[in-house]
Amino acid sequence: MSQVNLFVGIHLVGMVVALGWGPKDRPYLTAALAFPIGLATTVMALLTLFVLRVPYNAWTVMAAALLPLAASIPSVRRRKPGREIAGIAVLWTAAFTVVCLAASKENISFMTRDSHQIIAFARVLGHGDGLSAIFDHLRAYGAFQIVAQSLHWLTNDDYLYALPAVFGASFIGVFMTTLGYATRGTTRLRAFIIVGLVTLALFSINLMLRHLVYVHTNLASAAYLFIFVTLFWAAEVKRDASALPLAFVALGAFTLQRVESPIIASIFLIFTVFMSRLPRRELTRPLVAYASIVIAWYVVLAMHVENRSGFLSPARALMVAGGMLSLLFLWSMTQHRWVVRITKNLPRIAGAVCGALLSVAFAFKPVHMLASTEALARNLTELPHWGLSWYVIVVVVALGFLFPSPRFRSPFAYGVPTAFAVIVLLAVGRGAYRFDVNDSANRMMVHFVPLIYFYIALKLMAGSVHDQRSQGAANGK
Amino acid sequence: MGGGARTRNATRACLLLLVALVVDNLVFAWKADERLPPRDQLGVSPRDLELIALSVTHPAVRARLANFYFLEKHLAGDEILIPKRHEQYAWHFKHIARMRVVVAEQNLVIRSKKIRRLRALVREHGEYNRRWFFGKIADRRFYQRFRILVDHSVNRYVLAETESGKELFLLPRKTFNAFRAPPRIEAGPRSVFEEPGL
Repeated sequence: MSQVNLFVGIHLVGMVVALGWGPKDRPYLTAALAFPIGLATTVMALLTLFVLRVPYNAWTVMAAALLPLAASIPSVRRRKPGREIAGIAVLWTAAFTVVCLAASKENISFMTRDSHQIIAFARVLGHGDGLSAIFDHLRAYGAFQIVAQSLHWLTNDDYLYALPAVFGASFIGVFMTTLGYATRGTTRLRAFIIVGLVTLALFSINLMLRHLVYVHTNLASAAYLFIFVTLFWAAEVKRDASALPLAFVALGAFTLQRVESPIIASIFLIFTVFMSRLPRRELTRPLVAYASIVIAWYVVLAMHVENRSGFLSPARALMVAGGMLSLLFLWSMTQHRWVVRITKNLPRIAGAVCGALLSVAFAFKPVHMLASTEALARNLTELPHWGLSWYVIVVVVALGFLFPSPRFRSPFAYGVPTAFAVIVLLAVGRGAYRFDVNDSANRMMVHFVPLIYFYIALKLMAGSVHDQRSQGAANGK
Repeated sequence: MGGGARTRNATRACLLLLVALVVDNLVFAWKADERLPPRDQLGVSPRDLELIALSVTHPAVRARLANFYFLEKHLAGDEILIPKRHEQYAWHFKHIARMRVVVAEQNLVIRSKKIRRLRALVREHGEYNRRWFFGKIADRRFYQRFRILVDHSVNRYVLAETESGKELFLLPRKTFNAFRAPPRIEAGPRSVFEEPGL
């Protein structure tokens, strides 16, 4: 089997899952989500089979791919997608196949030490040695990319070198279609300008381009976080929770990408679920399913990871599981008066907690924290790979105060700064960040940039609508 | 200036800034060859993992993975005897090189006097002569020259080192037996090399 067949197979599985659980009235977005969601469900199902020590062979992979597909079919039949949606799905699949053919023709992947480690572990899984052979290495690496790359053994290649490029192309599709739906309220020309310009501004950043061919976790993290937040945002704005299961699948995939991802995922969970006005019963089921998977996985990790130096120790793994359990507990108490008071003041509380923790960190480890923060600031402002991006972001965000606020802005306006602060804070428990394009904190900034650009587009859109209204009012006079 | 005009001007300013950003990014991409590391480090790579690992500048990657991918290609399924001192590589030999690992309690040392002859022997084998480096030894950054001698007629190998500890050899057992230093008498379990028929 070639990589193209594998990717198209995953895409088709994802298409059925997205048609069953995705956004009802957005066929282009549903089609664009097919590959990322197909990959997420396949990897999560495979990981479950690995944990259960089911032998890794073609049948196992088939089962892992077909399980989510089978679970989605009743939902697809209930929704009865029309001819138009089927046509869009077929066209998108054809375009996706062309992208796969182009991406797998030549190996243009970019690899660093981490990429090599990920692929080495993936090959160990691919050889059928099971999770037990690599458990201890999961102290420093998330499981998602390792399991995804382990699918290489179904192909004739040493590793899935085309995966980042194919995934990146899908992400560009997701970004553009999401922006397209977000700019529906304005004229076609304005929407075209905003979507085109923001997409070009985001994906022309050298570091983003680099991640489109880089075998690592960051682009996938950025994509899955973006999918979760924007699907949730759309659900909130349109009061339609139909796509929430897919949003939580994306959050699950994000959580499995990196060791520190559960912390960032929790922040975005707080600024979405806890600030949501959607019916509680619509949120509870996917939230409980997501949290159960994360808790189970981190308990398994705590049982197998050795207590040596590294990012994840058994104690830290249990802390992650405990943290997720606490979030569930808090969710179960949201009817209580004191929890309502907390959720109303979440941005302030998050700001105060982050400020306090950062102060303590700087007080106890001043040299380490200053070196880390300085390195991160230099990475964002001096590295040519970012270009003028962060300067432009700061100026545009400052100008954004002149625009009306878009609806449900909490994950963007509060989630991103809080996650940013947490990344600075994470330096406490590890080596200092360094001035280097491959530095961990610098790469983690990639996770938030799509969200920031999406928020900029929302602001521009709000400004544009405001402008249209004021022009309309002036003409009316 | 009214609210509408202010918003309109701010929108235009934002759009102009985004245009400037796109232009700057595209100019950077155009001149990327001048401002970025050479293309080989950017990873425009062959499809062979061993060659890719060899092209990486990071010594640990080059050392650990390129060697083991080479071994996987040529010696997968064969047995390797490694001294306990180098047991940290057992995982790599077992899971990446796909070899059957046997750990010896005793150090496997090559006699100093015979090193030159052994090096010449390894050199003669042309394509199988590899001179890469391992990463850390006993938690110290201590690189050892690593030479591999492949003989497709045998399937039992030994990871041996020189008396100075600066070079590692992966040899067929029968070759090692011809070059090994006499086993020291030490307390503890008997070396497997003292057993007949090695």
